[in-house]
Amino acid sequence: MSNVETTDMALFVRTSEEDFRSWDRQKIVDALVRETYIDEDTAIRISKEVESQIIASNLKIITAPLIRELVDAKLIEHGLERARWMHTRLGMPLYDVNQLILHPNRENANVPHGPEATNLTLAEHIKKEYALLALFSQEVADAHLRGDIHIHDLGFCDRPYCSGQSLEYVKKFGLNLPNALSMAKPAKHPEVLLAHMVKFAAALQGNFAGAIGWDAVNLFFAPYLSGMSDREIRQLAQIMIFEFSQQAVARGGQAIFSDINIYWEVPSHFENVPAIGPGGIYTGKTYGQYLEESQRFARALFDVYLEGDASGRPFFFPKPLVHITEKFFKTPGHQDFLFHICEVAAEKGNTYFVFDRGDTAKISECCRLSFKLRAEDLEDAKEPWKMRYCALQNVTLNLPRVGYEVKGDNCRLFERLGDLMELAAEAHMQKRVFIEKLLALGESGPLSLLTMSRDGEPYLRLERASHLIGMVGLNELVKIQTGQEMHESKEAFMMGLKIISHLKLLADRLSSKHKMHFVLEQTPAESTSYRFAKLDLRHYGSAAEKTVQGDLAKGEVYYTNSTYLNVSAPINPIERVRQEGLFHPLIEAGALTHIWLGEARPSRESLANFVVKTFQKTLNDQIAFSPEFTTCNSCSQTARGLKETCPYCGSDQVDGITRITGYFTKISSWNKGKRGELRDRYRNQIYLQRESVGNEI
Amino acid sequence: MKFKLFWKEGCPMCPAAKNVIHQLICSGYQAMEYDLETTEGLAEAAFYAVLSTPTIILLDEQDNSIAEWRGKVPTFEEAQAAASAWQTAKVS
Ligand SMILES: [Zn+2]
Repeated sequence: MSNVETTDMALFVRTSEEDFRSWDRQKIVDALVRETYIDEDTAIRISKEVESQIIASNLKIITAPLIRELVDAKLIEHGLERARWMHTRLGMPLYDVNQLILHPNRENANVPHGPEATNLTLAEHIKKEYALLALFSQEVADAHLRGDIHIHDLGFCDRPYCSGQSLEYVKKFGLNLPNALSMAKPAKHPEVLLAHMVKFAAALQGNFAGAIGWDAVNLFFAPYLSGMSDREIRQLAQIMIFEFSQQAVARGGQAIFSDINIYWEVPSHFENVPAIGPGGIYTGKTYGQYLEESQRFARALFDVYLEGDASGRPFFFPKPLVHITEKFFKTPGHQDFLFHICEVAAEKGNTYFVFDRGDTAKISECCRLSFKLRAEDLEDAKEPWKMRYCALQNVTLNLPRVGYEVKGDNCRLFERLGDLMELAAEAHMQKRVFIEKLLALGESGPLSLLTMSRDGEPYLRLERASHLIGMVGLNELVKIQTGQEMHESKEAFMMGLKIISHLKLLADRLSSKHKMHFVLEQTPAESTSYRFAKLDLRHYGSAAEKTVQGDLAKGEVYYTNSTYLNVSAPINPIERVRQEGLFHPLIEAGALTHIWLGEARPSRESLANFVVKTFQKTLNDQIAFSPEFTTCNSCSQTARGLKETCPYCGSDQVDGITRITGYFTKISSWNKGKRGELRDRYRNQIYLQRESVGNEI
Repeated sequence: MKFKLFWKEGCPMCPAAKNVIHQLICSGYQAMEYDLETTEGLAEAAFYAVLSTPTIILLDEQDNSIAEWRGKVPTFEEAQAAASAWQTAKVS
């Protein structure tokens, strides 16, 4: 190969390996042949054309990325679009990186600003580009980019979405993780078990995009608590909550999105299961015999939640999910415990009330994801370390857009919903193939943790994985089709039920067709609802202007989340819980109704009454009460309600705190769409202060 | 006043429930059948909080529930009695 024309060039290349190399045209040829399908002759021709262009520019130093761009431009000139695509470079403009390093990210309110967070965002950016170019088909990627659908956590495309597990795994096998520097035997003391739990959660956070949930935490701790004093148990509860809420040192400065499931009773499916105690050894008793310790720990956890952190703020994580079941009401002390968790709900808002009616049992995680236990799961319950579940991915449908497209035509509406569901299924299948490929690399692959096989099967049980399909803006789609929002007429409400019923039947059909488990989910959509609204305003002009919620002038626009009724509609909360609850049986992966408290501080008795009525008289899956707080950055005190200035010291250096979707955060970190929604939220202040709440139904 | 039956393919007690509904129709009562595997049927079932099949609900003119048989099948006589009782109560 002749180098004649380049030997005289005083040209240096800044390479990505942090050095300067003198110009070598052959590098272009090598890259083209290695990375694309084009033959060597074409590659040489392109390299020569690029070289003359560079010579003509009289540069002294050139960067490798620029050379690549010039080659890509040539490939396009030659009509080699597919080769250009294969040869493309992923990365970010200097300006954007500069902005990113200096300014906070508002996409996910759970990420604080800092160097670790910047690293996370940069990595996410490249992986997102990678996913849209290489992981998904162009049809799926384009649908995401247009905003027909939203594929969540593309920046974490090489991991599954979320997971739920049992402490029994850690108790039985200790902390024995692939690639770890040390191996720990099963814990002998409760503090050590707690340390293992927290470490394992952090390891899982590195292998899942979203939430890490733990089943029946108080019960599985119980065998370690025998003989401990109230003070010691309280201390342990405090360590657990602080450990999880202060994990802002973990991945990208992001707290672990953690859920702990709590039962007042011993759930029937664990009643006769042999209990694992210190050292990973069976204690000789069953879990049914640990009711007392389990209850003491549950109560202690809520003592800690009630107190809040050092400045009286609510803990953001871990989210406590209390299961309200038929057995709950038959278990001694339930009334006191219900008052206790309701007091926490009124004071700090932490409590999630999960309703398992009849014989259903669930594990809940993510913002509102719950896995209903099927027959084979109840079989697993005999060896609870087997109880580990995951959702592989979450795809959300932009429902209002379907309305703009079909313009009130109901026949076309249902047809178009079918197309969208097919597309979502396609996106799930592509992700699954990719994850299967990574898992196939086993313990030397990137997902080694998920392939470890301590009990004879891989940690991630792919055959049990769910594939989530969420939705945004049902209320707005109904408004486009019927002229009314769902709370405005029975016809409009029925239209909402029809749309979700249709999606549910489609999910079932796709599941049997593809032998995968597609389930509907209420997408938390803390940024998706804003993204969809913005994109629709751009693409559908006046139709979208008439439809989106929020403040158009300020750009604080949003669609109503999932199947919710308009957040600003003045509907009394028990009626909202009832009506929204009619959708919940159709949404297999779990659903939630929010009750925004504002400044109200209802009595524990009235909230307890409300919870009991919800359990008995509605189909609602889960409820949470959300108070609002103002925290002062000057005097570090916390006040009730959202205030402009601190009521204690008068400082205006304050920040609001309330739930953004499924978790508490500081309002200063919220995106514009969510701020618009916050202003619109109907606070149920007066209603909830009455003693007779919930008696209307 | 009307009866609504919610049924599903492969549900063992549904044929018996359908029989009762057909007898009611023959006796001049208004009755509707909803298949839970259709969009309309499932939406209607969701609205009436139907979680098991077969379910029969008797509704008044304002669509308020007068009587319900959830996950069980009334005899024709029981269904008819519930309807007559309501009519008698309304007249008096
Ligand atoms: Zn202050």
